[in-house]
Amino acid sequence: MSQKNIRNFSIIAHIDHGKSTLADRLLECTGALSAREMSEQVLDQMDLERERGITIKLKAVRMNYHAEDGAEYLLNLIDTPGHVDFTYEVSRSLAACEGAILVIDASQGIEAQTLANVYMALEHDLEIIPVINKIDLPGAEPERVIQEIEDVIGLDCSGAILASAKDGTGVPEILEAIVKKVPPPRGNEQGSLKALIFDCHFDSYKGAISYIRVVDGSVKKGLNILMMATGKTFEVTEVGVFTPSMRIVDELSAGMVGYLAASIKNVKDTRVGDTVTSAENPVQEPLPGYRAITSMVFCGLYPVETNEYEDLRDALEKLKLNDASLVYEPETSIALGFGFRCGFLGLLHMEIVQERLEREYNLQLLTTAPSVVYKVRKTDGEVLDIDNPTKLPPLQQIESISEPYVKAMVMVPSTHVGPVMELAQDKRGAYLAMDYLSANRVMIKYNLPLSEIIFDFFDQLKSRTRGYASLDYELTGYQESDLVKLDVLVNNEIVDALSFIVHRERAYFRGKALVEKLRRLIPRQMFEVPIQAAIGNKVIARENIAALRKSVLDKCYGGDITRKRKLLEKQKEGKKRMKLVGSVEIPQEAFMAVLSLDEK
Amino acid sequence: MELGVYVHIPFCAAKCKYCDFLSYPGQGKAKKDEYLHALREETRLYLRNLPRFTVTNFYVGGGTPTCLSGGQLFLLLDFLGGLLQPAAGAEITIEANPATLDREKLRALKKGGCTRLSLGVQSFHDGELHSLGRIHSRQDVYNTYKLARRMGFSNISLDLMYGLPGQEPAGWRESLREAVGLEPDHLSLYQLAIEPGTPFYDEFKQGLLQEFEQDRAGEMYEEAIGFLAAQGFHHYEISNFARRGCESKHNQMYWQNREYLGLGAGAAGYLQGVRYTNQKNLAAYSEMVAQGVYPIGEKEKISTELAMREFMFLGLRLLAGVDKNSFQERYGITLQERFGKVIQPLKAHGLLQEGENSLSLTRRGLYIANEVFMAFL
Repeated sequence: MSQKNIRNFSIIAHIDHGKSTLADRLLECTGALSAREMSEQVLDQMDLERERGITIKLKAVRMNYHAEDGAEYLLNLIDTPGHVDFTYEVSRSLAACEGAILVIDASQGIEAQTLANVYMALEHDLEIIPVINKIDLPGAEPERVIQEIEDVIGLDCSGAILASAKDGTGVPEILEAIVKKVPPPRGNEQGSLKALIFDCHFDSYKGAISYIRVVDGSVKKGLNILMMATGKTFEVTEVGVFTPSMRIVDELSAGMVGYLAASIKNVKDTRVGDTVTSAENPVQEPLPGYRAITSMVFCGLYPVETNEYEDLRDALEKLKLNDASLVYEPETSIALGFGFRCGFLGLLHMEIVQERLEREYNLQLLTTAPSVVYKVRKTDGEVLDIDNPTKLPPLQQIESISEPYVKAMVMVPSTHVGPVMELAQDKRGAYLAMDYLSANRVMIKYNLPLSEIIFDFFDQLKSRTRGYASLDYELTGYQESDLVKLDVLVNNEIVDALSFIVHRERAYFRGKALVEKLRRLIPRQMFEVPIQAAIGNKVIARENIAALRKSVLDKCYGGDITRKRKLLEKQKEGKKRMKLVGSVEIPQEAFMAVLSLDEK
Repeated sequence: MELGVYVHIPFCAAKCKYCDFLSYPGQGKAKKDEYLHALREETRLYLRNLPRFTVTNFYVGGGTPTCLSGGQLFLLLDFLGGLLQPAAGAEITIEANPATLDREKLRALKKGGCTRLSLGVQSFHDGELHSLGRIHSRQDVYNTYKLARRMGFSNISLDLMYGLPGQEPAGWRESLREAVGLEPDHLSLYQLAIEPGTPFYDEFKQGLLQEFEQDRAGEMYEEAIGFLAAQGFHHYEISNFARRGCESKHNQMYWQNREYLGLGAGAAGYLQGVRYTNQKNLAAYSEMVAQGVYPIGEKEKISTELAMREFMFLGLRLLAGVDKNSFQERYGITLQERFGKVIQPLKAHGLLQEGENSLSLTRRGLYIANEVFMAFL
């Protein structure tokens, strides 16, 4: 099929604004999937995605569309995740498209994350088709939302489509708009192969599968290809498209989206963002790649059972095959033994990785409190990157500590401005600006330490604005702060995995709140257990967990010893989910307790 | 070979609200007759297949065994005695609900050879008895107890419960005092446990019943231990107290990890290294017995490894503790070699103490014995 009949597009939307439903509807309307094959959120195949109602991993799907002009078109939808953690993935899918559908909820209006993604799409010169979704809902105010888009983004909304992905209203118009408005690809069909790898996954039979957008030339089975960044060459064993399941085709030509397999054993050889070209006849210039991924949040992952360390390592290796943004390296903790320091795009990413490891690889994990990367200037002038509080040099060797800051944008109804500003101040934020998006919606900008964002900022924001606020942020750089390391002593011994870095002014409060919380989380033991928070040698808070008073089965069960034994075994099994640190059993939640110290 | 026997009578007048033992309330005479018949057949089955053994103690529990009629009770004890041929001086216990005993039944028990009566008193407060769903009153306890004494029952044990909904330390003290006032030979104290499948459990799930605070239960337990010791009772097992010489043989048999025959629907037994539980369904139980098959529902072969662990968690229930020599005699390894690593920290925490030839719970270990037991499992 010639390029003029191909359209490559993605959908930009905030969580819950209806992206997945619209994608489902497009698939159904073009007959890519029959109603019988449809299930909700067809593209979100991961259990976690369906449960949480979010998209984590981007996907691609091809649709055949018979347009009003009588011609057959090939539409490629490249799905994108909507959460701030996955901005990086969004930029990848946008780079493979010529257009984007901007889905906005007719009663909610623009959200912070959408705005960031629209700007990204505009940077990529994409044609944007505004769609006002959920117009069937009683609270829908399409005119207001259209006005908001025009005012805030400056996008011409004269052609905005009013739709309801739920009942199908506007879906035919959207398909027509894709054909009419999104420009066809303009690659050199005769030229040498030039294709962008926008994602990959690992298949145990076929090796690493690269998801590609062919820009120039074509690729088919048997072609020798060169990965331009790594310099490795491979022979293509299979090319295909996503329907959404993988289907083999003879050839992928300029403008097309699909996948290639080339018996690539090591997923590192299909670097996302790399350019694929012909080994015999390579192009000179690669396509512009992506910015490198930077991990924003680090935490330690440890197996509850020390003998599961190898299993955890294997699981991380396998998970990394499908999630290039995950980084990890081995580390040890006095309290927890052998584990890994892992870097994540954000807190949601961290939660998802942990949950996938536990579910898909059947591991029981302990996660230590997340940390950002601090820059520590030592008195001898050396500057260290510290992603683990326990690695902080001794106090007397520290000249200064800097922490990462972000520019945070919060969109909120004007009635909730007060609580948002109060929260931002609480979290050491510096006010930057406030813009009215419309008469009753506001965008507030703050300069905030990233560490405060990863604590409980988002949860607090949601609860203080009754769920109306949305948040986006971008890293702006490092600023020096008065930071200290807070240690936690359980039964008079420092538990390194519980240490965290905190602003000096907040140390007392957080220390007190943490020991109080640990007192509630750690079950009573055979002996009294003191819990202390300390900065250096100075104890700033203390609580005691009283010793167990009574723990004994006294019923005889009519001589049913087996039953008695099984009850004890069950009770013992419950303890296995805890980590024995020194002689104290500490449950998993305790290591994450620092994350949700409710400050109010 | 010496053997103890447990016989289960899965019948009662009405289920108490906390009870999760196998018991079918409100069954008629025919059902019970049929069951006794099957029980006799089951006993015969074992006699045919087991090597010769001497019965040193047997125990009839339930349910409420005394919800059988006087005739049935006599029949039961008579055929058990006839078949099992208990040794001279054997301990023969029957559990009884104070409201279900009268002169005729007591006479039947006496004639049947019963040497020990275990009365399910639970409380001396009518309010508490009512809230537990017990069918007897405080007055029934006095009447029945005195009648049994008059009729020559020289060994009577009373069961009491603490940690009852809304129970205050003063109320518990009162029940203890009344119990001791009756001068029983033996006392068993149990903390109320809310078990799945009971009305209490449903109430608990619905939030109508609170779990009793373990701290308060601990205080009640501690107070009882002190009080009973002062009254001359020998605290010989976690939940059991006796006048010297009246410690229950049957009870101690369990804690010494000895084998016993379990008879009747739902009964548990331990024979030739296998722990088993009988069929709970009465029809299935009778049917299997009729076909000459052991009416076993579940069984588990106890490996030597497991037997050693059981030896510990059972033996430590006795205040005298486990006997190091008998451990070595039974398993061919010293206690130190096998469990030294487990024992050491428990000693360090003050939960276990060692004598020349014994290992036992300390006073502190007694209150949190589960923590100690788990270390051995």
